[in-house]
Amino acid sequence: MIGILILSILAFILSLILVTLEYKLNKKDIRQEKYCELLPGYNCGACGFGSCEGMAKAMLEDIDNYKKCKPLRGEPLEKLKVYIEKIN
Amino acid sequence: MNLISLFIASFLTENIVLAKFLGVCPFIGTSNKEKNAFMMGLAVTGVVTISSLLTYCLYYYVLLPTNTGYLKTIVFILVIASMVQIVEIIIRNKFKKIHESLGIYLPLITTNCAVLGTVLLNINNNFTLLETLVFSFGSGAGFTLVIYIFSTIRARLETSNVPKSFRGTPIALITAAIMALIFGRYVGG
Repeated sequence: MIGILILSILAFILSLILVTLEYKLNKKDIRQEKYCELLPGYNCGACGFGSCEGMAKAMLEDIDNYKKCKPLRGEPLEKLKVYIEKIN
Repeated sequence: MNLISLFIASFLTENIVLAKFLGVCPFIGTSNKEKNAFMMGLAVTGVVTISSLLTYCLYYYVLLPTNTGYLKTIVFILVIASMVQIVEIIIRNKFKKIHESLGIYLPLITTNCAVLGTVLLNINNNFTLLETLVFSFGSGAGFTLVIYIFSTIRARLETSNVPKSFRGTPIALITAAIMALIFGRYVGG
């Protein structure tokens, strides 16, 4: 019983440390992941950045890069625009 | 036990890679370039020193008083894995190029028996806190020294006339064996 308690508390404390550190140091990454989710995900390379992940990375530098995405139109395009407006 | 002789023992004569044969995977895997090897050695040194400090405190102030000494293996692995993740986050943030060149070998420090072995040896030998720190730092420094020397030798081996079936890892393993002979017999005799 006490073993379970010790292990749980230790794991909880360590995970808290890891999550705060990741959040504080790598803020960019979380935005990039969100971009990756909102892009079509076909990895067609039509934009010139190779994959959707490459496009997400390029969007971190220049946000207007999303216009280069050829399969992105209609409702997903609107969703992406709304998200961009929200965070900028 | 004299601290200086303990440091020399863990650094040279009882070297963690060449005498105890712990941590051979990153030893062979990251010693292609000198800079990678040195950064890997530094990362292992940092992880093993801080982990040994934390595990010492955990073992003697939490596990033993509550009679849960049997949990030491899993608790140590938990602490080591978290430390490695923290080191990886910091390296990914500050030194992006080194993070890309180290690749998968940085998280592999977690399952690196060198770190867990050193931490368990601290407990088995009943070291005090200062002896623990000296021993762990000596082990990490010994790892760094040997992996750096090995990477320079490997860089030289790339341009020499090695038989075709020996190129790459086989000749590296033979070199490591020769180094183990030297460190075992002629250093500290």
